[in-house]
Amino acid sequence: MELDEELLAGHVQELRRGTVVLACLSVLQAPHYGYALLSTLAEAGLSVDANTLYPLLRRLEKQGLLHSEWNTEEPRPRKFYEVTDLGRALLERLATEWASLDTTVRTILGRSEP
Amino acid sequence: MNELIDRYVLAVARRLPASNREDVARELRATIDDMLDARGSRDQGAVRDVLTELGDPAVLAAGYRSGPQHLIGPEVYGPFLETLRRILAIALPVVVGIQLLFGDWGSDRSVASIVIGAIAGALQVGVHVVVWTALTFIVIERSGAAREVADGGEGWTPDDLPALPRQRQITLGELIGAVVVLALIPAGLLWQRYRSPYEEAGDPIPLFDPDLWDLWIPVLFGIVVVNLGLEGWKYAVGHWTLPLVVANLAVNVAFVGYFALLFSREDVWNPAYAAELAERTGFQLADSPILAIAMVSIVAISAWDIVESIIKLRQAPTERVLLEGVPA
Repeated sequence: MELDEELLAGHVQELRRGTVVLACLSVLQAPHYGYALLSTLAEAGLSVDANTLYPLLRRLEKQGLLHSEWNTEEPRPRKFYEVTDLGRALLERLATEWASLDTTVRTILGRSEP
Repeated sequence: MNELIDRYVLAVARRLPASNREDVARELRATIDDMLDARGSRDQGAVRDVLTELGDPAVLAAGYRSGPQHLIGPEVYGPFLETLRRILAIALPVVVGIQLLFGDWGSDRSVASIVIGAIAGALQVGVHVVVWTALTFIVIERSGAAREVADGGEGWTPDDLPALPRQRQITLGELIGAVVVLALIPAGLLWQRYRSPYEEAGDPIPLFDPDLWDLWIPVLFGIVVVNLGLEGWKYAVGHWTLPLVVANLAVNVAFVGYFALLFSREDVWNPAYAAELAERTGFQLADSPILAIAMVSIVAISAWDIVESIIKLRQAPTERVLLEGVPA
């Protein structure tokens, strides 16, 4: 049985979608600029496209979960993002949710094993 | 500064609202620089790689915009189609009907041109209906009323479920149509007996041989009556069943058999009528292909009627499954 690459990619993306927000909020407990965040996530094994991440950061900022600041002291001005108190609260809830989801899925997977 | 990068940043920025255009452009520029640093090269090849990785500027810009990226979203797509279907189902027949009714019949315009005019009118109305309905739903989508339209405003409950369709497979219109067509047979036979262009001593000369009234025509009346009974039975049941299909087959075979026998055994034309016609117009009824054409038509109509009943019998279970929940 040959698994179609495109089909696989679509489902993997679906599975990962929500985890990107969780990972971003977690990394951004310390201020990062966009590309540094991207690299950190990639190093950790979660590769996110730049054209997905940057708009996402804007949305989270608009929802009051992140706040941003331009750092113009360096020769290259960069926009730094950091979680707000609201973002931190959401991060905690999402982390709990993730843990319970992990347990649930593991249980289901274990039960269905042949 | 690199021209390709400028072009990319501009292509993204001009698609964004003025409020965050500058900020996004600035951040995008810094990002591209960072990505180039990571590659350790700033030559044209590296720039192309980075921009390719960032992808289509239109897609990137779309990610930044918050509004809906579609004209009619999934929430109102269903209601949109339903509305369109309902309006068209009413508007189109009305438009065609009005145009045919008030068509320029008196003038020397041909029937074809009036019919074509009616179809063109229907197309025009159809395009208007589609465009205005679509615009209305686009406004609904944009105004944020989409969710309300989708769930009827109050949130969905099982009470909102539409009633089951009780659509009959055999409609009243079909029944009336069949009865009218069947009634034409005795009506025509009686008419030709008492009305004729030719007379003999004040009595009309019938088209068909008067001897046929001894047996053949009463038998035909009998077949018509049986056929009427079948139509009534069909309507009472409402959809095709196997007994109905078999009965329909039998009636059609009887019909075809009757005419095959009649045409092969009897000279159906009234000799007096044929003689009168030949004398006045030179037209020889006996040599004409009228009976052959009639026979072919009867066979074709009966064959189609049988095929149609079988097709509809196969379609009928869908409705029964829906209504009873049990596959037949």
